[in-house]
Amino acid sequence: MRTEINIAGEDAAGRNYLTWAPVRATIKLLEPEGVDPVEVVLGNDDAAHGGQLEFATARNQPRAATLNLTLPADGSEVEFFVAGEFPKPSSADGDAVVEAAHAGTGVPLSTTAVMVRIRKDANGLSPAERDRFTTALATLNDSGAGIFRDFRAMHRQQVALDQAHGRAGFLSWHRAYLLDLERELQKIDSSVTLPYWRFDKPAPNVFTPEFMGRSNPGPLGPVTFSPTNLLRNWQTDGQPGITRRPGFDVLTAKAFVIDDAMTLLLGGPRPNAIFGTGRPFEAFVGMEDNPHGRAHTSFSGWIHDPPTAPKDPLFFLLHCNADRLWARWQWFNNRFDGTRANTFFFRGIAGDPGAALIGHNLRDTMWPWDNDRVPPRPTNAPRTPFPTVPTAPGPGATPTVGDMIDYQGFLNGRSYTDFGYDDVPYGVAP
Amino acid sequence: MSDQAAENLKQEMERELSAAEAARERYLSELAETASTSRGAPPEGREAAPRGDENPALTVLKDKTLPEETRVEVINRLAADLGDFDDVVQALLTVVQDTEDAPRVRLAALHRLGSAAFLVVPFRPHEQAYEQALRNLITDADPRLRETAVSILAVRRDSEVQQVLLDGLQGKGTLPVERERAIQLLAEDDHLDNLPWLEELYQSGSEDARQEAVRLMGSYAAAAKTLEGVLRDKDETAQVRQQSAASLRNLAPERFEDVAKEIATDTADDPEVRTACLHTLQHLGDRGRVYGDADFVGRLEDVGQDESAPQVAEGARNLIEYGRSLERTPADR
Amino acid sequence: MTALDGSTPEEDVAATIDAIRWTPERRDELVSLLPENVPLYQGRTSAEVTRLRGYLLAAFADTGLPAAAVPYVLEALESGHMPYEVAGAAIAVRGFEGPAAEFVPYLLRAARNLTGADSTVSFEAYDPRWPYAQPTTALAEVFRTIGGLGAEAATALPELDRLAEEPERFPAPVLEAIQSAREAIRAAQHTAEAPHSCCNEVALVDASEEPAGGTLDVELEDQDGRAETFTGFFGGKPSVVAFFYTRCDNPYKCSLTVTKLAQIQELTRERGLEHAFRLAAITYDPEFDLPKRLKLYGSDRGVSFGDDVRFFRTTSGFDRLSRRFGLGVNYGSSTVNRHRIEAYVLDASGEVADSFTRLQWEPEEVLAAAEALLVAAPYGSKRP
Repeated sequence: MRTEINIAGEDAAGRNYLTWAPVRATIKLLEPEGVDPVEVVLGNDDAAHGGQLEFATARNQPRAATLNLTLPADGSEVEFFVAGEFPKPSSADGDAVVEAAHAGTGVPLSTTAVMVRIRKDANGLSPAERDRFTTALATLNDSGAGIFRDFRAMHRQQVALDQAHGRAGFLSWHRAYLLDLERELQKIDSSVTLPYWRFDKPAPNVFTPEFMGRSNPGPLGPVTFSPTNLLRNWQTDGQPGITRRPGFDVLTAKAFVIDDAMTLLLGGPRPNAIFGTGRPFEAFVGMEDNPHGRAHTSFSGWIHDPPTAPKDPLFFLLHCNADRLWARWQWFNNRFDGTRANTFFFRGIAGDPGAALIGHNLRDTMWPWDNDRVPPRPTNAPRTPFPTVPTAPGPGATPTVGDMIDYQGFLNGRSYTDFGYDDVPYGVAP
Repeated sequence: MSDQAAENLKQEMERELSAAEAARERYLSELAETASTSRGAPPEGREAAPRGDENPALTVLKDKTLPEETRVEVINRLAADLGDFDDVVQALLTVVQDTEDAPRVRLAALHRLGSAAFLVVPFRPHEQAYEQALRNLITDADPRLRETAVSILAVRRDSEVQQVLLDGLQGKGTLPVERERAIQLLAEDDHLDNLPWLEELYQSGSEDARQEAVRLMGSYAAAAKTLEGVLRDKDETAQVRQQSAASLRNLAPERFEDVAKEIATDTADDPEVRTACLHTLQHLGDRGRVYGDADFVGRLEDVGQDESAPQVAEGARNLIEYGRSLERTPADR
Repeated sequence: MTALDGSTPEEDVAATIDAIRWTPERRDELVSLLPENVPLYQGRTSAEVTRLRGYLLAAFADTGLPAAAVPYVLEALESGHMPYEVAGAAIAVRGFEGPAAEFVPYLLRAARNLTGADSTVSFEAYDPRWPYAQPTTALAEVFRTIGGLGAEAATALPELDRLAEEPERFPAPVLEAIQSAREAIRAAQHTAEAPHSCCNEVALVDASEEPAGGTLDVELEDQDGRAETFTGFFGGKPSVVAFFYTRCDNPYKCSLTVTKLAQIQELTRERGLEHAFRLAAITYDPEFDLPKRLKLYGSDRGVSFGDDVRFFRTTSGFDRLSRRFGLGVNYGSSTVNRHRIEAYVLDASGEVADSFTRLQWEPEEVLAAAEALLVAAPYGSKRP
């Protein structure tokens, strides 16, 4: 007697990648010994190591580390839901293992290895996680001849920057930008996620030759890499390397930013926190200035200015943290319904009375994924459509600003995108 | 369990946010207090002149009689509490350009302006004034302000700063920064024919200078021979040679691969450079040319056994194993 | 005029321009300096070329703007991305003596391109040092010129009105220039007759460069590293070939050209003509633009490569190719310092049948020119 588990969102190689969000799965009995139903218990194969999972019988039911299910002897499927157990992510592909065992005898009937693939604090990555990330990112760049060129091109021209900065669409556009990049990284190494740089804390493990490069202290401050860090081959716009000089002591100090708690207060305290008012600086989206902008300008070099910032790969770790802050704010304040005034600022579409610039309204599609090249959009759309993956249905091929808000599929399963943060649970704060 | 962890997290955040909120309120009231006694405050016994509805934070920011620390803190600690966006930008521009003001405060204000500039659309009306402020700083008396402004302008490929740097390098004017730094910054624009300056930088001495010189030469096809020479130069430091390898690969990937194969299998060469060459060949090399070169792979087998250079040996074994894994899963790659 | 070349000091070139400024009968000498491939620009940096051209263009405000210089002014307005040169072109328009309504769409295009990419410049002298005595910006000069056209710029009013309603998009001095332009046009409309549109066609033909003929021995390498010859690829079928380089930092030139090439490919598919033509792009920068770079630059912009659609770098004979096409390009010591927009339609024997240079072209018009060759000598057309 055996069991077989199928989890939705399997990739072409038959692997599953989960976040904290529950995903539908089925289990069935194979080679039954008799005609009576069999009670099985689902659990983690190794509760002490690797990513941990939890189970429920319905999507938004409370989940537990074990789940008892009765399987019909005729082999028909029984549905359940599985999610990563917050805050216990994987550190390697397949290190989270579902064990199905006979409830009575405890005899294992099957094991199914998955990964709880979660974005983590860059400062705490294991050397293996760090190396997988730098190798995938450098491969995507391929000394300037890789797909990374498109990502660089997306954040360069003023007309392109207009779609994504200074107004309410800032956070949505950059969430999509990061996710697009992350999905490309995962095509190279499916176990990779974007790490985030906590700019409000010292991050001595990030600014090292093995990771994002160490800026030498002298007046020229070349950024140096270790022999096995592939980022040493980084190249953008035909220029090798990285121009970056920190204005703070990266080993002992934080960047010149307000901290996490102050950032989360920008929209006001719970339960009345608001996202934006349509005026710059104000409410939560004002975080585009401080801490986000101030993190950028804690360095000199490419990352200091919007048109050159993504030439420095640190950009993506910085923005991942900005996105984490939004996710944390969303979770703490229950802000996933973009049609509500406190969740997004302008809820219509460009052209409506009172609408913001195109790209900053809830129902606007986002350049370049929408392939819209009619002014005021840029003349070229380097990444179109948005890459779709088997792991999750969201955000679709031509995402709107609003499509990025319910990223965990909490309100609508179709919105689910396959990323999460190691310090932001699924759903909303209790 | 997730639910318990979420509950714990919520409670922790509530504590943190309450504390932050209280600290913020305290700070704002301190600021209001400081603002009410700041410059322009009336002599004792007279009623305070109306200050309009200016945000106290802005009053503190602008008041040069207050301690530098207090004013820098306002710049770095506040976000929207500083005041209306346009008012804040105006105030920052005033501080930055006031040569009588403390350099430390001006520098903080300059960085904060750069931060506001990320709000591209609302910042646009101020863009011209920002550019003018940066250009004014090229000749500022304070070296940190000069360095910061020149660096920002050079990355923006500002024609004015490029001319100042070029004039200085040609002996026709004063350089706002050290000569080596001027070359490095001018080289941000690869349409400026900087190769002669970069050759000077390479010859000029320090390891940092040489490393930056070979990095920046990677934009110039004519530098390929020089870069190959540096990569092969066993008297050069490992860092500079590795940077040279990356730059050469940028210009002539096949040539890089040929040289890298030689270096990787040269037991007399520097282990760090050999390791870097192996790693790049493994992940970024042309698979046909790397793994199709039976002679190279054969020599690597020996390198993989050479425990006198363990890091290189491991790199060689990794490369060979990676090649085998590609053979096993060709479709997936 | 003394021959000016790449070794002439910039100040001397500027002095020559200044001398001609006050002797308008010599203005054709200025026109002769406008083609990109003249010796004046050889070996200079792109920054120098921008300075020289901006200063030169602005001098036409004093000498009067002859018809032969108009395409260069329109090009700078339509596709320029450097504020100094665009400002110079906007100033040059003021020297045009005939009806000038045709300049208006180009001026508006410049205004759109430079919004957010403007900079403070000055024409008080050649290459003045900061701080300027007479600062201005490209956008301010563009709107000043529009205002100066008075009633002839009536077509610009709706856009100017719209811009005036979006004050957050511009710095105050530019907003003032927009406001003044609106007032000037409205005032002129009350006093002047409507412009005659029949007679104010400005010369859009750029006839200054004549391609040379002869056989073409040029070796190419394509985006996949495959060797090819010019006559091998550009023979047997009509073709469209554009020139570009991947390090071009002007978004309105190479990037847009290749995007439009992809649109031509799309149109040929829609019309069942994908096997009737060859499409190609050739880099100006063959040493740097290795096959991988060519491939990605094309695929980024929607080009689907195939046997009939390839991007090339020359491995030998670029000079011959350049002379043959009369390419509007020049070089600093390491890379391109200046080029125009250029696309050519070649017939089945590889000869130039039509050219689309300097000003922006539309995919439809280029394809129409290629299709005309099919009508003349049908080849493999699947069109019913």
